[in-house]
Amino acid sequence: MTKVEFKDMSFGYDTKIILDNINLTFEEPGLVCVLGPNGVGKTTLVKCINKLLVPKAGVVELNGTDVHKMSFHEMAQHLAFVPNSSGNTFSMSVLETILMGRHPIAGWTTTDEDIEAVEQAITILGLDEFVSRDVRALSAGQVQRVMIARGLVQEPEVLILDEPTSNLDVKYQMGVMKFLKSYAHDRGIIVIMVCHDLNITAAYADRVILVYNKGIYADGSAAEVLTAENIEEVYDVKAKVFYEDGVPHIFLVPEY
Amino acid sequence: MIGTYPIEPEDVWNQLMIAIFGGDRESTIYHVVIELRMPRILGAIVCGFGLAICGTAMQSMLKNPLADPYTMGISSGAGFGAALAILLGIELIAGGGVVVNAFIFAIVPAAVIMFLSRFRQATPTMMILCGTALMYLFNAITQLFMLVADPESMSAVYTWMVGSVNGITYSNLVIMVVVTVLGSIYVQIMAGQLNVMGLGDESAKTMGVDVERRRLIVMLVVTLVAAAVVSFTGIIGFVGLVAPHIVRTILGSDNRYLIPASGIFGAVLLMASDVAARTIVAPQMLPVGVVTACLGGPLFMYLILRNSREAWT
Repeated sequence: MTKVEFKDMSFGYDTKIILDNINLTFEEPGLVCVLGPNGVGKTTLVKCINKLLVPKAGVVELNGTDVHKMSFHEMAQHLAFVPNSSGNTFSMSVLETILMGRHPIAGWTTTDEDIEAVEQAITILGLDEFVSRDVRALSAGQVQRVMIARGLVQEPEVLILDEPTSNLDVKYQMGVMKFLKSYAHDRGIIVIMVCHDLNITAAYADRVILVYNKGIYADGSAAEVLTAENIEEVYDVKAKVFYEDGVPHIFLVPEY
Repeated sequence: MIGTYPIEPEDVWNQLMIAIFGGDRESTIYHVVIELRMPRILGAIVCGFGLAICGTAMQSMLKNPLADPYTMGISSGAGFGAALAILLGIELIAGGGVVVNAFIFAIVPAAVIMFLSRFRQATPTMMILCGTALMYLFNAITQLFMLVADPESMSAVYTWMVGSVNGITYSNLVIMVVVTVLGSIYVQIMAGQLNVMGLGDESAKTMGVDVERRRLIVMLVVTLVAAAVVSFTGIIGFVGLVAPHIVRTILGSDNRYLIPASGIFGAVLLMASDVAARTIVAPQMLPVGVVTACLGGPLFMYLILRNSREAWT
């Protein structure tokens, strides 16, 4: 079973510490949502897992090995990252972009297995009608679905997503969250995503990590973490939380 | 064979057979075909191929459609080196002349960029801006030298700065071919990684590419190819920039196909330009760089306008 472990990890830029002495373990398959206000270090936290950022102190281990001692190629066999934009400079079709997700595991040529994985991801994400379109000509929401599809075809043990639903309408947000949760359980993989929507998180996350004040403020189930007190303390907004079948529904109280 | 001395294709074939298997090697036609035109044609092919490959690799790895050996300062560095030798008689290696000077100074901008990349964590944008700054710097110093040059030397520098495949010899060709072929093979092997690098550094790293290391090595390889080519031909701009773009509008951006196709297109473009340069105002010759821009420019403009929504947004 795959295990990601933060051990006394600190990260900062120059003298400014963003995350301080983080100890965290990801082991159980399922959907983990990382929440917190803007600028607290949610994306920083997940980027330390796949070596995109280098901790100032401590280590992040993947299956017991410090990720900074692993090559990028070795790491890509286990981890996939879904950014929230495509980054394409030149014209690339949706099909080509998704197919590139096979790069870490594919050989020199495209195999039937690669095509099958890509076709499956295209169908799952509802991208059939866009396959030959240039990614840069798609809407932000469509691009996010392409990026998720690219991450899926990498067939990772840990899938990390940076705000994958931020540009999606509510239907697709719910669809993507539902899919990621069932995908995580069906494949037995860990899906870690940075997100902002408290209710969507509460509805689908198996585990919620609330980042605040340079550390992990709360870590547990949605019902344990998304309490009115925690939300008020971390986001500085008043909230009322109702429970239905154990799932919290959060109502943010507007201040006039 | 098209030129000021018209030769039938059959005669060209015969002279090639003589060159390979032996025969009358003293005839005028043999001299024109094998000694004058063949190295020039082969030089244009190798030069066009090499510059186009360099442009394609640079554009992909730096994620910048304006990257090519010229905008990265490589050609300007070579021009500066050549000007040092021609105008001031300074040779970095005794007896090396213009070629060695040009080769060494072509590598200088790339070395600065690679240093910044390795030790200052320069982004692709910073790298291309540094290249452009060095291009202006080398051009400015070369212009300064030309201000105080005598007319004959100035003419020689000018001829070098607009590029020509005229003076290429078979011994030059051997070096150009070896470096270009080896460089092209390496770049082709890296095509898949260049595709991934085009998605951005973060995406590329999470897809298994050691971006900084790969960029350094590809940069070194394409610099050597560009330096080896321009040292013998002078500055031939435009091919490295435009060939990848033109092919991209037809074949798409997958470097596995784009790299060889750009190379072939660059070779054809430069060869056609050279033929035009030799024949348009015969017996005079136009600088091949001018003809390349005149042939490729309108085609490029047409493709930009036709495909603006698909290829460039």
